[in-house]
Amino acid sequence: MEIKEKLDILSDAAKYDVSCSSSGSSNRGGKNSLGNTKASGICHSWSDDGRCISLLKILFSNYCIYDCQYCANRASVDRKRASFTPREVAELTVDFYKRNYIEGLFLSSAVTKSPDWTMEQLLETASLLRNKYNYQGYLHLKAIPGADFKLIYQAGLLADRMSVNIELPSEKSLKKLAPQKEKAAILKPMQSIGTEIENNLIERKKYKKQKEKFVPAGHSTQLIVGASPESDRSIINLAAGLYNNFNLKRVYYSAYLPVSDSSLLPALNSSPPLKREHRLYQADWLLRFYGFQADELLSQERENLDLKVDPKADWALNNLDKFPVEVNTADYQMLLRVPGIGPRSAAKIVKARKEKKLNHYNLKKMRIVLKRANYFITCAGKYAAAVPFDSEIIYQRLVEKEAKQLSLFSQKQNK
Amino acid sequence: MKKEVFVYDGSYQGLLTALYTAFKRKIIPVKIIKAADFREDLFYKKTIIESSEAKADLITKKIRENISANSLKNVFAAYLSELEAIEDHIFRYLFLGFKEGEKIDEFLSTTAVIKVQEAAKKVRRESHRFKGLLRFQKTQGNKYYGAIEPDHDILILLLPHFKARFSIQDWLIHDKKREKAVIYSAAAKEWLLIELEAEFEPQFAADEAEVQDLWQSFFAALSIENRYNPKLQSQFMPKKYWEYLIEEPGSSRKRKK
Ligand code: SF4
Repeated sequence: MEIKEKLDILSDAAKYDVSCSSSGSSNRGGKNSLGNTKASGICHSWSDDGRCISLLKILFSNYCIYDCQYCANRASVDRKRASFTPREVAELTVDFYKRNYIEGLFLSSAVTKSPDWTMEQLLETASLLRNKYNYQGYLHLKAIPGADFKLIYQAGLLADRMSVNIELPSEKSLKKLAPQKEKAAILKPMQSIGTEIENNLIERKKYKKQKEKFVPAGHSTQLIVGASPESDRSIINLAAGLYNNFNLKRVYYSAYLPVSDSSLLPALNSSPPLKREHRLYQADWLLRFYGFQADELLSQERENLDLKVDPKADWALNNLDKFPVEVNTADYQMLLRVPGIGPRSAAKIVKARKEKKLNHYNLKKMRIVLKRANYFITCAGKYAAAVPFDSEIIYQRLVEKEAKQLSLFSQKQNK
Repeated sequence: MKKEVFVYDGSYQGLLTALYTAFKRKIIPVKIIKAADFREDLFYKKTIIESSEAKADLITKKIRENISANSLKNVFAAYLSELEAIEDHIFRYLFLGFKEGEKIDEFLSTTAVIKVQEAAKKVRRESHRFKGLLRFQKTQGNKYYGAIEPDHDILILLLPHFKARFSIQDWLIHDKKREKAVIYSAAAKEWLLIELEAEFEPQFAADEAEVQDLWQSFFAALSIENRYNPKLQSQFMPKKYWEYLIEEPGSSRKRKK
């Protein structure tokens, strides 16, 4: 088969994997090698659906021995199949990289022949790239669940980032929809990668850089949203657990796009729950950067996020007794919890109020956007929102504001 | 006495010399302008500024020490913007800067400060964009050629990035609008700024078309059909940058199923 046809099949098959970020990396690259990695992340193009293209994102192969119901590549589906060779992938990557089309390679694969065999192919590709082609650009490899951890470890010494996709948020759903996969077989490599990353950091400190880096840009996973019945609460709890226990860098959420007519899944003509995916990303953000705990966002009484307002506003409205906060006295953590105030604005406020007592005008001049925050703050004792301080009314106002902005939301979910 | 217009040669060194001259003579020129843009005028006295390395160095040092290194960076980036009358804003920005010191960059409601910072921001944003959007094509003899037509004169800002990334290949970035180019040699690990007419076109390598074809089909295959959103695409990647892309925005819809 021509390389072009392979590329067509295997890039098409890979496109639903959302993690595309190439940022947060490792200072590879020197005077005598091809390429380097940039901490800030660079978009090289934007596809017709408005997503940033930064990596050559392909499957090594879409021949699969498994039959996960939600997957377009499952064994029982009749579709075009192809496999690359390690050399083909390496050459394609280098050809694209040298022309500045991409920041690097994101290589995943269906499980072909066996988990070990598949992992070996990925490992060999990585090793060709790093050793034969002297390539130091970004490299993200999938760890194949069920493969020998020795292979995964070797790959981790060559990659910048690794990921194991959990896909379904619970054991029960895995059993039903991906009967050959076990939660344990997925979680184990994740846990081991997390542990090895930590060990590697400690050892590198001890031996002053003499030791090779292991997955220096961290590891990540993906969860499919809407293929199975788990609530937002169980998804967010799972994500929080992964961040806390496995040293995970990112969890990606992917709204389920119907690709299969399995009776176990949403119908083919149902549309992907993009809004829900967007809210999950926002909630995830609150966990990672705003000091929220999973159980503050959702509880047994409330299993799902409100789709009409963002999770932070939702939390504030449900905890209205803590508001309005006085910007001149509230501590940094509390300022962070005000809807519309992010880490940068909160820091600015803390700094500026040392000089003088802040009023609304001062905040505006500091370029702090008060459109949403106004409902939740007082400045020098003054409440400036033009509505009564009432959760129902504020909720309506926020919904209206958000509806205006949301026309583009579905594409921003990855940011 | 007639007010003076300072006319400089268009180079950064020339601008610095003009600034130096104004501060040294303690005058406020009505205008600091590139020779190429200058129109004779009866009302003002024309003062030709002879570009001087020593004077440029002196004022550079003064800005760094008496204002800040950051402000020096802003001045350079704003100069690269080539925006109309940016020289005059730079002068006022520094005029205030020498009074206020490094605080000057916090004067967010002063026109000159806003103008300089905004110009610098535009330049940085565009140069960051081109780090991604620049496309090289392989030429005969294994050199990589990339053409750009940026709004601002960002060539010099792109240099360090591409030098670090592609240090083992020979390449050339051609600013067709300004008819100049930067050439990098892997063997010598050195770069050179040259003049290069807009019409220049290299001979491309035999396998170049094939790789481009692969990239085009990857680009088209990547888009998810039921999230098709050309508006969002051109918001991130304005049409003015499409000319030198190898891929074709919109092509996912033309792709054979
Ligand atoms: S193992 Fe991966 S590629 Fe194979 S069917 Fe399951 S999800 Fe699809």
